[in-house]
Amino acid sequence: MRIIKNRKLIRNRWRLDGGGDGRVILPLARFRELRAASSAARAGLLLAPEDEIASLADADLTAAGLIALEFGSFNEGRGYSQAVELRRRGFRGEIRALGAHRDNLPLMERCGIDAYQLADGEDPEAALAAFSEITAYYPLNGNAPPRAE
Amino acid sequence: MYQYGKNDRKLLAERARQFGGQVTRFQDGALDAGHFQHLRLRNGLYQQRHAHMLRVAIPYGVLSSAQLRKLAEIARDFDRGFGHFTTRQNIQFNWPELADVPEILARLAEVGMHAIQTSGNCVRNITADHLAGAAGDEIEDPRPWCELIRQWSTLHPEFNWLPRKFKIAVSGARADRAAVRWHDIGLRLHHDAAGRTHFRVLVGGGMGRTPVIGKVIRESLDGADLPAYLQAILRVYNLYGRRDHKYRSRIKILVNDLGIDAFREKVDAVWRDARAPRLGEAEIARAKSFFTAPFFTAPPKKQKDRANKKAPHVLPAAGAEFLRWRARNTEAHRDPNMRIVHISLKAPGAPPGDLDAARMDALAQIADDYAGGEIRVSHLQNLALPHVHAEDLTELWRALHRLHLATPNIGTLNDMICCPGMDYCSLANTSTIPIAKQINARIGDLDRLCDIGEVQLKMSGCMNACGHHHAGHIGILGVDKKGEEWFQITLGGSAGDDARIGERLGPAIARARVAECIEKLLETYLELRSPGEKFLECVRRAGVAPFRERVYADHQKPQTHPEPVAA
Repeated sequence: MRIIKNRKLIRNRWRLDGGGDGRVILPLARFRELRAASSAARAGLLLAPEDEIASLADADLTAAGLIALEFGSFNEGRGYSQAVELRRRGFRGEIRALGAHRDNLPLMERCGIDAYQLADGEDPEAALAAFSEITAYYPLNGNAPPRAE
Repeated sequence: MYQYGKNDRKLLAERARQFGGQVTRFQDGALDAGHFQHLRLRNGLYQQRHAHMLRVAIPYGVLSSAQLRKLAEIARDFDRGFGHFTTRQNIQFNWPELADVPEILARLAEVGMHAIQTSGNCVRNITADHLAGAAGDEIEDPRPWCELIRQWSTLHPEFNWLPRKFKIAVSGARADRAAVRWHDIGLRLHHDAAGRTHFRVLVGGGMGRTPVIGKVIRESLDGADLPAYLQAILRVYNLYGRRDHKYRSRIKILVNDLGIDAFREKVDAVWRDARAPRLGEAEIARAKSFFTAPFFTAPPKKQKDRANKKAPHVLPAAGAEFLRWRARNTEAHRDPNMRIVHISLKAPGAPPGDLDAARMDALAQIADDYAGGEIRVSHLQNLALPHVHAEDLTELWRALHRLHLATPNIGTLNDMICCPGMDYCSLANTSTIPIAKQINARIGDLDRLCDIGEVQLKMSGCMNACGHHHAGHIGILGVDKKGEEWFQITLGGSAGDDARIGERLGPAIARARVAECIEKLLETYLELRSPGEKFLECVRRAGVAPFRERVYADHQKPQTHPEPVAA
């Protein structure tokens, strides 16, 4: 399966707990257990929309190979604020939107999300076009979108 | 007024193109109907009872003559020749074809207008005092701040998918004419001891089925902190507002559930932590530079005409009709040589807030001739010319009179707020426009209306309260019971600084008796009033009881509703 990262299609090297190849992405409790058991294991951290960024320790952020945000539905809005707060906390690793839809990509990107596992039925090739649809923005509401390469 | 630059124009063009692509994908079956619904709503497009409805923003109620001409063009080319001004300083077109909407948006963009975020669960059009920059009681013109908030909220990446819609209103005057306490966020401008612009911030007001008056979250916020502080409120709402139930999702519910103090603590924590930048002095100065007053330098039309020898100067006879209009529909301007002129869109028999394309064009010309090309849209569904030379009033009146736009009923009972109701809206339970006509027909005598004085009548065709019935001195709420239309009356509500939720009069009234009931309320008032006492003051002093007794004295069981309906 392919995902979008930094506006490019790449092969997905991470899997959610429960199957598939690659490194594992775990919910917070399991993520902490694994880290306590083996400091060498580097897992991804899965956050549900109701998880509070303030409840994460700095050590969680340092240890996370990536942070995945769940967007269960098209109109789920909490992940946008979670991403902004993660960047505010200084997290510089990958923030991945799970279940992203093409039409939401430009705003997700401006919130600091840089990787997208698209929802079922979304065509990743076609979705890439979404980034160039809206390039203008008002600086008062945040950062510029990253420049297209 | 604010002039669109390169970036604003690019944003509108890209957005219109993006929506065009979404429409095409939807029509080709490549975009799911449920997803498309969210996207079209964020571009102002509803699916109504008979057709689509497009809601176009008129940011903080400021409209240029060129924009009004464009609205006329759209009404003619894509609608049935008219538009409907709403309580949120928007205009609605009721008959556009879906396939035409991208073209409409492109044409609106030509004059710096759009329909972005006029619906959907996001920050809606910023509303303001419609007399901003003209009113004598103004502390500071709120429009530069409104424009900064407009830019801040437009395509804000974090807040496009809120739990529910979000409305912000701003007032910069001593009297609140923007109903700020009924908004999700209300902002009242004042100056601190050092003369800096500060805002009193209210949060959690709203109408709908759970009416709540906004609470003070911060007494005095430095204007430079406005975007950062709004961001903190919105983030707390976005993260903690309920998403499990449509009617429990507004910020008013979150504020009530947490309590204002706990809510404030959460907001302050985010605000401190976010380290969001403050507005720079240059940024504020730039916003202010758009709202200087060039119209004051333009001479009265009369003087221009004389100089150009266009029209012979004839002293107009100041007839009684003109004088009544002048007393009712104009008010003092901060410049004693000017007047503010209100244009009533509540002529008897016409749907409140509607205006046809021909008169939009004519009014645009009048605005150019007499008012520096500027028009305002009020949340009371009327228009205003904010800056008119006092010596032009009589000629302006003649011009408006010819267009039947000089109905001298501003502030009277017939100047009512009324949602579109069942005639258009797919949410409505009852019709409202026929009720407005019924009331106009029964209580239409202007002398009598002027004697009764200020009464704000507000009518909604369902619990969603688009017609602000909770805030009406007299509120009317349409309810459906077993396929029949009944009307719940409330008394004593208000929208301004004394904001209050109206109290229910009693069981709902049958459709045929609404005007009769209103008449009884007015009769009661005329009997009870002390000299100079206004309707609302009288209701507040005497209470609802004497009004209730009068209305329900004659007709009890058969006409009244069998069970009470919660407002």
